[in-house]
Amino acid sequence: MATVRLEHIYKKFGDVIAVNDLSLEIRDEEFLVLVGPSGCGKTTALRMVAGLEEQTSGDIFIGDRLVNDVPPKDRDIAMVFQNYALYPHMDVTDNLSFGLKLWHVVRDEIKRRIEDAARMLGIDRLLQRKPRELSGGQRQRVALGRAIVREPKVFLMDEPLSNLDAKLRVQTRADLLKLHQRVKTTTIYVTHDQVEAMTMGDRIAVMRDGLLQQLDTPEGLYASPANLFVAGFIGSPPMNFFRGTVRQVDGQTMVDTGSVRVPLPPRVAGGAARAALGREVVYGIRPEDIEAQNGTGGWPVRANIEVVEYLGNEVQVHANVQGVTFVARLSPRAGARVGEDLPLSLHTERAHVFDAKTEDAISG
Amino acid sequence: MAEVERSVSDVARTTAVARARAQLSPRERIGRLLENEAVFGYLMVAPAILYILILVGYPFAIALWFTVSDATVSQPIGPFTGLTNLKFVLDDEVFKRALANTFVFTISSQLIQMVFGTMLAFLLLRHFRGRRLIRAIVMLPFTVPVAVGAIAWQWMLNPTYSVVNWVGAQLGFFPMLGGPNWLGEEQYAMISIIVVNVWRNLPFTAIVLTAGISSIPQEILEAASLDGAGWLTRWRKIMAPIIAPIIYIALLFSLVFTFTDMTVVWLLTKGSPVNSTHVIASYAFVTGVISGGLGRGAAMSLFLFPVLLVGALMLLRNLKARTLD
Ligand SMILES: Nc1ncnc2c1ncn2[C@@H]1O[C@H](COP(=O)(O)OP(=O)(O)OP(=O)(O)O)[C@@H](O)[C@H]1O
Ligand SMILES: [Mg+2]
Repeated sequence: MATVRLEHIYKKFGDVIAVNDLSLEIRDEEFLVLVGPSGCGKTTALRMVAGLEEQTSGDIFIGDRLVNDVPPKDRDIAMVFQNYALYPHMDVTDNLSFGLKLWHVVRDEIKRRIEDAARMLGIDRLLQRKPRELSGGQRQRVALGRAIVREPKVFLMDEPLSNLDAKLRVQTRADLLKLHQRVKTTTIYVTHDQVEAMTMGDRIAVMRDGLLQQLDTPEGLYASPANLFVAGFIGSPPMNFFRGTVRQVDGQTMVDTGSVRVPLPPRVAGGAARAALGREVVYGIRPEDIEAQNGTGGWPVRANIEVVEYLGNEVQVHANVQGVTFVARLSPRAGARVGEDLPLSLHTERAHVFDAKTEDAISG
Repeated sequence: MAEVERSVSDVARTTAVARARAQLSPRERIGRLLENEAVFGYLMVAPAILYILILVGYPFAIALWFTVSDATVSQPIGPFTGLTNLKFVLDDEVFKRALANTFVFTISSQLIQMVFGTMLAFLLLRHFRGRRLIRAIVMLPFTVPVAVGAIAWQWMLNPTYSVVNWVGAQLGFFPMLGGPNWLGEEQYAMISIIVVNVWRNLPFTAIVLTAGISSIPQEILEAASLDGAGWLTRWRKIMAPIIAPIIYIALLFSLVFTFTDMTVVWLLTKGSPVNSTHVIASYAFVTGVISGGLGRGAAMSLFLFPVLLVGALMLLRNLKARTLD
């Protein structure tokens, strides 16, 4: 078991800065998710931890050991690749035992570990098969098995579920979590899927263009995104944003979009609110923080419904309030009908405000 | 149901075609015929089949006949003599030497080519400055006409002007002017032949191996590194088995080719000194064409045919098993 610590890691490919001053500490037994849009440097970061790529500068520690110059095989890590990277000419047993044999693990122990892993992953009937005789989901399990039997200090996983169909992905996600609860190996998990990140991570590191945007628990990321990017990235459908100016209206500090005025949330109060006066901001409110009016508070608006998407347990409506459009998740019983007006209430106490220029969250 | 419908429509179509054909001009009829996949397909492979029949099958049949007849250049259709030619060949000391040489030549060339080819392939796959230049240089022996290359080698190995000996002497391996006579002494001549043959075929081997190695997904090799495999283990346990089918084809091709090749021997020594460096192909050429004993020459040429055939079939079967499983 081990921590992993990255200190001021840079990685340049020619002119491209793939990873830019990344500092990150992954705790012992933690399941840390590295998430961000395509090309933001997740894989590169993971490969540097693995030793498959050498950082341009910065230090990487695994446990207390500085591993900058330690070759991949001596870092005591196991990696699950996006395309599985199974050895095509070996059957499943050989795929699993390859690494163990190289480390001269005794035969009985190899057998025990393979049996354990195979049972845990439900691949015990596939042990004699070659990778090409397996389905995508089965291959994925074998790839996981190959990592598990090694009993490494750290698991590194690069989008291991991305090649699975939606249903299998959800199931394997749960299996992976169960597995982690059992073996408790420190894990760095890369994905570009925010749902995967939210459901799996003890903590989540959000990256963009090689830069770490925020490192927090799923709850923390959702409740207080550090900037506009994180706010828009986490949550589905994404947070609604309106541009506006902070103004004093009738003794209350409001964000004024020109046609609509909404009050600042309590997190932007006192000094921060005063400092924000007159500034250009982006006001953000999540679709789930908008309800049909039912007399239980919230900021009332009258919205015209433009689109209704019926999802069974909820409807997602595109609503328009005097030219400002946003998405809301409503109860199917809210009675939203296309073209009609509907009184909505915005839970502005859960809204977010960002500086329009720096895109950082404003709070006080 | 669908079956029935299809066959009904088939019948409808064929009768329609038959009716249409009756009214077609000859030119249109040929056009229609070419539309037919079976006709067009056979037409397309016809040149290849003709090629095999005329340029491979016919000479082969003639050679077979020569083997069991007393054919000479002056009298190609000689009388049937059964296994006399073969018996003569088996009693010929030079032939026996040539037979041994053929195996030594082929097997050592192949071995050296494989070892150096692999090393060269890894060198070519590395990223370094001037890689393109090195690649071009490596390909050079392949692009130089072999006769020109052989002449250059003859000069380099010449007893008086030998560059090789001069370099060797400078490095202190042999005394000045006292180095080996590369093409004039039996052992050295054989070594020279093998070296030049390797020089000529190395690019092919290296390129085939390079192609094979670079077709292996990088992640598989990375996974092996993380599993604890050093480069030798990666090569032996991962890369070599994965590219084995490619190596097999190349090896098969190269073996059969080298077994029947006389180019380098002919260009360097013509079998000298005292017929000690002949391979079967060159000795068969001398016997059959230069000395005019077509029957004996053919017997020599075909001597290894059964062995090569069995070898080729075995390799092909192995290859099939590998690609299928
Ligand atoms: N070997 C390389 N040579 C040059 N540029 C590279 C190399 N590997 C990655 N990059 C660049 O570095 C940046 C980060 O790439 P990386 O693969 O880490 O992204 P990622 O976050 O894993 O994206 P994805 O979600 O698409 O896998 C990209 O701009 C990419 O083009
Ligand atoms: Mg990636």
